[in-house]
Amino acid sequence: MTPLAWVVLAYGMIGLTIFLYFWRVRRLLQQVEAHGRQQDAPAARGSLVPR
Amino acid sequence: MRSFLGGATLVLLAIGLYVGLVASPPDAFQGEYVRIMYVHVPSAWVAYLSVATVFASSLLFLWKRRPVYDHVAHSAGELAVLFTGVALAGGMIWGKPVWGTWWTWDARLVTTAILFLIYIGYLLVRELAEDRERGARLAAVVGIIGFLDIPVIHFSVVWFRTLHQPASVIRGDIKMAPPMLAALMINLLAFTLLYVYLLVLRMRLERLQTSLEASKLEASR
Repeated sequence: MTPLAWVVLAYGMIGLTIFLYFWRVRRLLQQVEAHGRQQDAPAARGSLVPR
Repeated sequence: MRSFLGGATLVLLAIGLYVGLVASPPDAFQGEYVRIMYVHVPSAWVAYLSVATVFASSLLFLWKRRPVYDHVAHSAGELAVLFTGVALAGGMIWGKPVWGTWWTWDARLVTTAILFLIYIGYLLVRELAEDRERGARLAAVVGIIGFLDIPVIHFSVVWFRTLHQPASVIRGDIKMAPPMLAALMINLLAFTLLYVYLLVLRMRLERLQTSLEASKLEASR
């Protein structure tokens, strides 16, 4: 392997690992936030009012 | 605020990438391999920072028993595993072409691997506990004990005869050429900002998950 290939391997491995962690946390955060919004919706709280 | 922090982190990481890969010169002895140092050293620095955060917030949690300190400790504990793992793997990729081996039973390497295992244990203790409160207390104890490994790692290159090079930047003594020092410092700053951003993001997730669990528990009663 050339020196540049080793450098690319190191940067790629570190970058990808951190990015995948960030992506997972962000995805979970979006899911939890969406779930929280559903719970806060008036229908979820049983506060439907007839017309 | 979160998006500003994310944007600033991205800009600084891009500058760090450019300086580390393009603008800085190759080293007289290591050649191009020195560029791996610009991500390996910041990863190890952030691992230290994460462990210090776990230590401080675990102490505060055991003392004050406020959930927010546990949220900080849990989030930082996860980041400690991430960055210690990345620092170890980056060091191995550097070690193979420069030392001729992926791994050697060197004091610095072994004590860092021990830190990695301690903080995997920290996360496991938390997950495997019977209830959340007990898990948080046990994890806080592991987090505090785990921190004792940091001075051992740091001084391992002084206390033992090791293959790992000693610190290139210590108070009053800088053994690096200015362009290389600049590349290292920019990347250190970029990784520190990245750590703060990931910690903020992970803490928010922790807080929301806890409140969601609490409301589910309340609804089931």
